[in-house]
Amino acid sequence: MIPTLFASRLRARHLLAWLLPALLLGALAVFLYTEAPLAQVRALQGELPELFTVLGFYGDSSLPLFLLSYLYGLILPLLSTLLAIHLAARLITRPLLDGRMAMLLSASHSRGAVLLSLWWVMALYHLLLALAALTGQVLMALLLFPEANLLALLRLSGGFLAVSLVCPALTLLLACASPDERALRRRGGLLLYGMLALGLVARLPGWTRWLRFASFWSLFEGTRLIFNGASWQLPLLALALTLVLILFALLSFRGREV
Amino acid sequence: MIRLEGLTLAYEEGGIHDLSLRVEAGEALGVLGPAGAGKSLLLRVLAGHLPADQGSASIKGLDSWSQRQQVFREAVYLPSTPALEDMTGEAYLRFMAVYQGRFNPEKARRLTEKMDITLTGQCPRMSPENRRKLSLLAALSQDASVFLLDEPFLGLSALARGALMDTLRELRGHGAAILLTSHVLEEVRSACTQVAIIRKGRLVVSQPVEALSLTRQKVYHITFATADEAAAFAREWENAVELIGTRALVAIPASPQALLRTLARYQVHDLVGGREEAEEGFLRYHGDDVL
Repeated sequence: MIPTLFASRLRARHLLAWLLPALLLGALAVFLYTEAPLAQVRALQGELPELFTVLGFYGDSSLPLFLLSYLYGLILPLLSTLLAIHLAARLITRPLLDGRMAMLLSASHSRGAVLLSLWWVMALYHLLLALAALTGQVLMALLLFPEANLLALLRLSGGFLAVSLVCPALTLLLACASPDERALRRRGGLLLYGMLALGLVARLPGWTRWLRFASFWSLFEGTRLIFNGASWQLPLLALALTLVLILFALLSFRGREV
Repeated sequence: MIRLEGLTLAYEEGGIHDLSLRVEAGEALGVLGPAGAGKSLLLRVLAGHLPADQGSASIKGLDSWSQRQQVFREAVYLPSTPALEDMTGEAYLRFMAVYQGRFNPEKARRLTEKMDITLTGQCPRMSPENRRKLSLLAALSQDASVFLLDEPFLGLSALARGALMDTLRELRGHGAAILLTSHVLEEVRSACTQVAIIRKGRLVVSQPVEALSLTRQKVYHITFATADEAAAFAREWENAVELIGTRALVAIPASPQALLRTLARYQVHDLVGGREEAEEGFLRYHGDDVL
């Protein structure tokens, strides 16, 4: 990694624009578990049960389960997807097109070191996104539900982070292989939103359950993480998948015209 | 220092075909050619950003593609479009200094004064000329022995152009090898020791800059009585004739004796002649490509 390059790509204002919504959404999700909003949510669920199933409703017997349904079911994966596509375009595709990448590569640093530095920026943004959402949850939980199982929330967040890292790894590879930003957004959108949609549809009863194998989001099994502190096999598998995607990205970038 | 041997690369509609060039230490080669001639492509191959289909491109004996990381311990590349980061000019210079690791602050200070560069303000909001000057400053302030500069004079004021020419002469004096591209002959004549003209990716001519004046020709504008007369003359005088109605344009390198003998057999209304300017000679190499 090249520390100068890594540091130059971090933008405080830009980071805040992503972290603040994650923090607020985390806090809001916990607030929804208080009596009055929860009653409204239950009423709505009674009217639209299929919608709640698709959105990943696992019940509301405990705060972690409720958060798994309302935060980790769609909102945070969607934020991760948006962030991954945005970062790949900002850090790789645009500099490739406007000549900034040519300048970065016109130095005695290897292409691998340059790409890995940019990858660590993407990974750090995702780590901070997960941490911001967790901070929002923990702060609100400490305020409203001091007896809540905070360790379960921590495990949920850790598992989600491990799986969500597949998003930037995938967009890193796509950015190296795409001719321009439009192609990256098209391919990235098709693949990542497609996988998210498959993950949602797979929650419906019936044959669609098999679709979960087509989406890496199925590696995030929140209920296991909540109830079993030692169930880290799937998140580790996601990290291995991330590693493989990064290796492919490095290979693609080695032969890429600049 | 810089060597191209039979370099061939197919690229989009153009490309480079069998190009061979050399630049030794203390020399500056100016590659001239119109837009789309393959000048930038040539530099991108030398900078290790594109692999060649055939032939080789090397810097100090290091292959530009397979040993590009080592190449950039010796060489500096400046693309034709300033590629600056989203930061202030000062921050950009600090970033490049640490990132490149061979930045010479004393050189940077002198160049900043000479070129009158404003370093305050965000790079994306700078004037196009200041952006160009800043990217030149970042490139030329490095301690390197090979400089690959794509259109370095483009968009510069007369003052900055003069300062750049001085700097290039200074670098040459310290033994650096420079390869730059341009589409303006006068810039190359002032800044370089060698000139290479390329057309549609092929080398048309490569010679010392001084030789440019020796290859200048004399151009005669002849007006005939009729278009038929002009056409008949064009058939007889095969070399370098451009025909427009009753007028013919002839360029000859030596004495007009033979031309005058031939013209004696035709009805000539007017004959105007003069020494070809260097710029006209450059245009002659490119034919209608320049237009």
